[in-house]
Amino acid sequence: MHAGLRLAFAAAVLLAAVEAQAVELTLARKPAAHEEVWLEVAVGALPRGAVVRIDRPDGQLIETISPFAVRAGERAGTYRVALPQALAAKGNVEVELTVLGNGPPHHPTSEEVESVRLIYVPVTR
Amino acid sequence: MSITRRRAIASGAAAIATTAFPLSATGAAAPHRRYNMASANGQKMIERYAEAVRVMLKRDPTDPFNWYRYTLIHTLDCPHGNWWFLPWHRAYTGYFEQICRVVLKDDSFTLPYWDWTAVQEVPAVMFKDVLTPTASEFIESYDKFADAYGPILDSWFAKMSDDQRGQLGIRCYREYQDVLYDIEHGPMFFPRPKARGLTPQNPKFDGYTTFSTSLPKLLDALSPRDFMTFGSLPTRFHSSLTGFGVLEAFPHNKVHNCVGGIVYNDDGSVKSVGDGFMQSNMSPVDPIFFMHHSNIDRVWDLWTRKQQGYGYPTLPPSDLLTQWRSEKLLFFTDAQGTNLPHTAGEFETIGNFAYDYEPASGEEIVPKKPGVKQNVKPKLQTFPALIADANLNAPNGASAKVALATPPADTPLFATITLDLPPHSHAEGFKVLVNGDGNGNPGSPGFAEMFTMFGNHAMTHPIKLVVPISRPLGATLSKAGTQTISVVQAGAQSANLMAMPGMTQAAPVAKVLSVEVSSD
Repeated sequence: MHAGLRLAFAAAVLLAAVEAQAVELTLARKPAAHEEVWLEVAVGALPRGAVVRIDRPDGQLIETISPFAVRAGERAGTYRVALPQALAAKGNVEVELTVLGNGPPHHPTSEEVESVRLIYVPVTR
Repeated sequence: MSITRRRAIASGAAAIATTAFPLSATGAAAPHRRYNMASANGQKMIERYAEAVRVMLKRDPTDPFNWYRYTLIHTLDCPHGNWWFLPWHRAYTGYFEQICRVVLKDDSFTLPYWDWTAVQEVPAVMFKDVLTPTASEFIESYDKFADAYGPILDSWFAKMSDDQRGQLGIRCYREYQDVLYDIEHGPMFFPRPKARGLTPQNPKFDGYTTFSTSLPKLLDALSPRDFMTFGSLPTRFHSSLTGFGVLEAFPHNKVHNCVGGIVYNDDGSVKSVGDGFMQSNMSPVDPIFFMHHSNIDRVWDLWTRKQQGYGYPTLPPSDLLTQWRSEKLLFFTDAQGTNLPHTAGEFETIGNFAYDYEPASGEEIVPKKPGVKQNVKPKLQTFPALIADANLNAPNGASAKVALATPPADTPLFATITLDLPPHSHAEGFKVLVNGDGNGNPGSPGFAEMFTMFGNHAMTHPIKLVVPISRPLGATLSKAGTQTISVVQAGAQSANLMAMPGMTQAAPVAKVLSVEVSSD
């Protein structure tokens, strides 16, 4: 199988894991110089006040997505999240997603978080 | 009395003779300086600001400088979750600042900013007098608001141009009643006692907001080298909400929501999903809105100066720049009280607003020697594409436009494509074409690859494909100008993508959500 397609399948399987457990995403390549691996999260419809919390596997907070100015019932949009680069050092990234404020804290449903992917962001630090 | 922009600049120019100003992002000394509200000058400006708020609250609803009228411009037209977020709010706060000068009869007034990285709570002064929307000068209930401003909205709709109506149509605002319905039921209007979520007794950010406004997170927000990751993602219209850059997504949203009463305990449990204007599109009712957005604009200016210092672009890439610049912004009221059409490109720099910022959090990211580039200037290796047609069932499939701003020389290219497929799309094939107008079969011009699903996974999430673009297709893609990547369903629409037997609803639609080209 072609390497590109293997990556695609890996991504598809791992994305499907969002609903049940931690998300593990594989890097397509190492980040180039002055480039970082970030997370891009597509968030679906959430009730007013609900947020998506993103943690490292050890429970340390990475960021929370708190939609603003979204009408009731509409998608909350796509969010780019900076990651601690140590998380990507081994060629994959593991994060945990939790929805807060929409009933008890829970792993996102496919309606709440539609997709999660890694992106390469050129940066200056 | 009214003040013209020319007069404002001229009066500021007089001050330059006696005061040394640093250079702004334009490279020119600015005649006006926006101060940190925590500084001595900032505190003086806050006092002047309170006077302006008081005057605007007293103005008749028919007066263009009335407080709630100015708020309604935001309610009708504010862009969020797209790449016009920054220029629109620069214009909105810039005209507001000029209006404050008019109502104060004070050409020296500038809008202070709230550096929430340094002060992670609502500053005490913002609970005083008319600087809190719980003050008696504000409207106490939705019904009273609707009585006073329903007729104003009605008169606006009656006089709107076709372009304005078209833009509001994207928001499903056909008539003024649609707007009032959203304001009441959103909810966007909050009764006076509940007009702000944080209180004098509990002014501090919750843990999440404290985290997202911290210096490390601000530096994260400032780190991207491309405009969209910093300042939010492309859309076709500024009334559409799709994708957030890191500045808007985190510090911007969190401060709005937390001040607006959406507060979490540190353990993740909800402390309150309370009330407060700042959580809604009526957020400019709360006077702290303008301190918050002055700081957002300061961070944009900071990022711009950083980019200039390193020699990196400060605006969207050239192939998208015309689209970004030409977006019509049609609802602003200027310092003459008039409503004139504008375009986003007018606000890509501070320009005629002619201010700069007193330095504050994050300033360290600007190179001390402007023009000095990093030791290794990396080439951009990822090129986002603009989706032209997302629908895979369209006659020519889905397509996306991409231009490689700095075409990499002789390096492998990959297209990363995110597909949203209906469940049970197991046996489908999807061909990827580069500028392909042939039959799309292997060996034909433009054919890059075909992807087929495997197994029996229910498609509950979008999936990502990484498609290698072999030479000479890669060379085609690297040419100057905009190129097209298409995704075409193999063969005719098959049973798997059609409605299942017995289904009465429309057949599910397969879509391409994103395309991105990378060089390795």
